[in-house]
Amino acid sequence: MAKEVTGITADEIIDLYGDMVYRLAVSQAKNRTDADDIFQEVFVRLVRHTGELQSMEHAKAWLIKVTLNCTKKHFGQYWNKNVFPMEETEEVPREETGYEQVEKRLDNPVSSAVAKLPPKYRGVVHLFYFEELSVREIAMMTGQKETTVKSQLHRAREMLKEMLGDVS
Amino acid sequence: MMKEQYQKEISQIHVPEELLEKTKKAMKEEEESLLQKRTAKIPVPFGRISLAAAAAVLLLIIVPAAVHFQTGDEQTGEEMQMHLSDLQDPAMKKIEKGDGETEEKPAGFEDAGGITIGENIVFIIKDTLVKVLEELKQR
Repeated sequence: MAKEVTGITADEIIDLYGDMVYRLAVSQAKNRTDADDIFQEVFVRLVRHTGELQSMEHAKAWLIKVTLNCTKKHFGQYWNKNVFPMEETEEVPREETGYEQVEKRLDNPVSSAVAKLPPKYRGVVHLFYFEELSVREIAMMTGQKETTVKSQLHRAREMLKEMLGDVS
Repeated sequence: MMKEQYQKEISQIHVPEELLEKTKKAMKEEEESLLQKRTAKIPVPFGRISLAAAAAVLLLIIVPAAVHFQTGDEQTGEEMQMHLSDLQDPAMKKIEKGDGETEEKPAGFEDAGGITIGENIVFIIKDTLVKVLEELKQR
């Protein structure tokens, strides 16, 4: 059994917030391999920091912050900056992978449009529209000023309008 | 409208079972390696001091203590110095003869009681060690 966070184990945290972290990772990454790497890195880090977390809400905020940091780190690496993926040569049967939902995302218009936004806007849009966090909370988690978050959201909305037509 | 659509699309995404199991396994491995590191770091008191260093430190404590026990608390500094010089350099100690002259004797010469100073020092050290061990046992 994994370590405890205020009476709740890390296994329970992954069961409770696993989807949240994965969705955020998917919204940040452009392919499932990157999202998987980020997901694993976040939860391995959780094991190292369980003692610092005081409540489940604290754990949630910590997970969001670390997911964003891991994404930055992942895409900041030389390989990911400078190497571009080639066309896949081998088709893996979808039934075997268990990734149908991620692949399906590409058929969804809004999430596809969000995926085309610059990386710094993607996280903010996801946290605001999906996790329904306030501008203040997002600012705290991303370590930015509230005005910066507001302007990022404004710019992202403008770009999405251009891609999707008029959105409210 | 965009918000609802986005929520609908994203809520269809779930962690693949395969990834979840893989991650839980990685977490357990990380936890075990952390535990190993922590147990390896627990300090063992004096565990790294070599036997020679320990013996040297012990002698540094025992020799002054031996001098102290032999001379007693009420001795003057001059007397203590004399005792120390006895211990430090017995080979060069000059023995006064009955006619007022002095002569040099080699190390291990006999004192008035018929016991050599070398034997005396060994006796003092043994005695002190026994006392220290007794004190340690009492604690």
